[in-house]
Amino acid sequence: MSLANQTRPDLIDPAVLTALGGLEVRARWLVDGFLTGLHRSPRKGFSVEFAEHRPYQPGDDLRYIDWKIAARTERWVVKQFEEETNLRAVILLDVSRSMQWKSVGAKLTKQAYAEQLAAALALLLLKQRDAVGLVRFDDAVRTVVPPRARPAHFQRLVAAMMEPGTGRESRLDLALQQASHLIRRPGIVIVISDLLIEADTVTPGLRALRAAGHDVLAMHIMDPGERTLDVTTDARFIDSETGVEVAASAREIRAAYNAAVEAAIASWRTTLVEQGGRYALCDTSEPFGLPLHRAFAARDTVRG
Amino acid sequence: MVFLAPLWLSLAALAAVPVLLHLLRRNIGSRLEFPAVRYLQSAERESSRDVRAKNLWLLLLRILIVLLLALAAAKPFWTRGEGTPRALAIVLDNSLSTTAIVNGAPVLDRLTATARELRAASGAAERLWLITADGTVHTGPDAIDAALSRVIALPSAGQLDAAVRTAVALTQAASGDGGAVAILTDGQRTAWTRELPAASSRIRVFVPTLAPPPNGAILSAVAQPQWWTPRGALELTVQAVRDSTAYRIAIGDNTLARGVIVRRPGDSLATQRIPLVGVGTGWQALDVTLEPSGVGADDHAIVPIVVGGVPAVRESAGEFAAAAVAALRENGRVRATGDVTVSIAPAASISALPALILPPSDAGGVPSANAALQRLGIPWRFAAEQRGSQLVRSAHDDLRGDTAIRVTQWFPLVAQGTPVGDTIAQVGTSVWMVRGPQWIVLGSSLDPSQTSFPVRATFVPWLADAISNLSSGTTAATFAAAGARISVPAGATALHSADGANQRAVSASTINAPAAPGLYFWMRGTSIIGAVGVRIDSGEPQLARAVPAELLAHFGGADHAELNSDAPAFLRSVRQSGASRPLVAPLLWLALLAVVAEAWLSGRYRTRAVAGADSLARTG
Repeated sequence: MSLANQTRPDLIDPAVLTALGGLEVRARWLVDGFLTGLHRSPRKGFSVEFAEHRPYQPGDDLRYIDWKIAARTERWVVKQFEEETNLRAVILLDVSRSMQWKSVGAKLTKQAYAEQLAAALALLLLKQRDAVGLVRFDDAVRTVVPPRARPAHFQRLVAAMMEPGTGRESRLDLALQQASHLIRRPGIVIVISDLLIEADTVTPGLRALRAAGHDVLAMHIMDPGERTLDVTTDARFIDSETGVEVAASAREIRAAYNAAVEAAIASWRTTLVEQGGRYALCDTSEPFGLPLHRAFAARDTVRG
Repeated sequence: MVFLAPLWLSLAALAAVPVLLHLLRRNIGSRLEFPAVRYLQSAERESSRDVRAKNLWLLLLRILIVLLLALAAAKPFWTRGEGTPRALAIVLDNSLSTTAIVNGAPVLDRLTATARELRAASGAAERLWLITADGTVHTGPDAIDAALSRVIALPSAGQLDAAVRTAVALTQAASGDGGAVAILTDGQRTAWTRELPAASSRIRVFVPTLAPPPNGAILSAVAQPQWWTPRGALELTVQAVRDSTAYRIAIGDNTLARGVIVRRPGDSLATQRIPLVGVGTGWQALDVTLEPSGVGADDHAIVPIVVGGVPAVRESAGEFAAAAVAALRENGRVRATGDVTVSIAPAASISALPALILPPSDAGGVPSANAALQRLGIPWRFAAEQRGSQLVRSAHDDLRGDTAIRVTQWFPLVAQGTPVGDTIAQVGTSVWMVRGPQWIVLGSSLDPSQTSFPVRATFVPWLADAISNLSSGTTAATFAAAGARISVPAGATALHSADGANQRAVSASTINAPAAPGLYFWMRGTSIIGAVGVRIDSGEPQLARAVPAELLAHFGGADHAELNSDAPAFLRSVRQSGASRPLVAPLLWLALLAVVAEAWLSGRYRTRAVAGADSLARTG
């Protein structure tokens, strides 16, 4: 792939990346680039199960020589292991109306960014032999794809992401409930959302997931214009989800707005940490590699 | 507080603009979809009080800026109660034009009455002057009261500009803040033509709203020629207010002519040449009168003429002089024989005066020519011959302003002892033509090989006047504006008015013309040797008023002067001018401060907003 020769896809401008190929292909580029950047085997440190013995060959790692058999039979054999899926992950993807917004200077909607991020994350997890499921939600749970570890499962996930239909508001609490039904063993729930919801509504769901041994990672998707109120005019600002209107002078209110955003970010971080979860702020202008790193770090922690 | 331009106060209505904008902002029209409205709501709750306070301050500052600018535009003056000026100079325009009758009374009466009111309202402690249009200064209340009780119109325009300058100088010298100058004038446009330099004195101008009446006037009355034999003519130019203007021409009680001058449609001027026959002999005053209108003084003119016999001429000065004399003889201006014979010849050929004396034909004849001059008692001599090509320079009326007389050969004239006579013309630095009581000496022969003078169009008229002049022993009559500097003719010892009422001796070579228009005779002993006609200013018959903007511009603009057509308002303005201070500059400074405060307040919030955004970006 010529793109890979030029630069790593996980580090280029997400707007540039999304202009190349479909969601699935982009996800593969992203993951390949991401894994290249890790400089380590994707399988290193993974839990595996013994499969069979085979004769030792020069160059094999001496750690895997089965010394018991060697002592018993004077044959040098090495143990071979079968990789197994030991993590179940569910991605909760917010597809509410607010996710379809982008600011004037931005090239990607929050939803486009979130979908690309979710696809890359799913592929990355699948490459680690993890089972990955998907829940798309808005004011209801729209799509549920149970976790599977088969590589072919990725196409199903991508197809699910392409499904149409978004409601108005975000019911993350419903999605969290759905996630708790999908994964019985301890796993990880990754929420990809703009979190334009009341934190109180999701606290019970978070608490329940944590009680069931699941780790929760919230990836807070924010548009740059949303973070800094990047408009100059006086206007009536309309919340497309709730229909609430606020007349304001952007110039006058910007400082207070920024403080409010900062407070909201801090509040979400606190809420998640208090519930044993993690929080990552994802700016839709930053390369996908950065949020992937955050998610991967969270996954490793769960595994560790 | 008084306002020089109160109409500008209407700009204060623009203060409604920031209020309207403030209110309109509450009704924002544009709608933006913005998902994070919940943060805006939170921010609005947090900052609404702060923003409201800031907006209120900005609104107040913007209103203040508009009001201050409107006030400044109205040019306010701060006044300290009824503070009359510590020094007040009243300039009363009593020029000829103020004699125009409007509403049954001369304009001057109205101006004088207002000046009396102003004088009566003046404080006892203030310094007070009255300056009339002729520049006469009356100091102190009593002198002013006396002057106002007997003020009469000048027979001329006077010197109003000089009077105002005097007034400004007096008030500035007497008062630290410049005092005030009150000018009462009919606002005649021709009287106020030169702008005054900026002065610290407050100038208050009273111009009554009195439409000038139509005014017929004699603009020009010229005798042609000046020497009548006894026939002559008068060329009369009048400013006509009707299609026909009646006139009467008389010498003393003898009416020489009556008639009407008809103007052409669309013209305001009418000119007519009127043939006349003079009476008496010697200098006469030709009295020209139009039917009365507007200003009376310009309906009357006195024209000097000399009535006498036709002089005889004996000439031997070449073909050009002979041709000119022949033309004059044919025209009846000269004859071959008579009681007085004027000689026109080279000096060596002349035996008696009067004579037009020419130089010798060559350098060899200079000694004999000078001997003849000595014999005739003429204190001038011919110097060595000069050659070259030069123009004759002359500021004298005799040559009728001809500046193109060229000389290629001449004998410079040199005075013997104290110069006697009038130098008529020069070539370079040497005298070329000089005139005495009964002689004229010329530095070049009347030949085109020496000078172009005999072939100039001015030559024959000049020769006719010169012959008449020499035969009568007089100089030509001259004309001057009142008070202008004029040359005293050679031999004149006094200047008498035509009626003999005004006589003054003269000894200098130049004097100021009399201030009163009329006819004056130059006297040598008891003999009249010349005349000077003092004319009224050509602009005085034109009664058109200057528009207020012109007058204000004349006095330095509205910053320095205030114009009133209403007497009570004028008196009030003068009374309040004493303690007044212009407030334009302080108001503009305040407005600037308000602008700076507004900018600072706006910028402060903008900076805070940016800082907040940066901080958040770093946090993210």
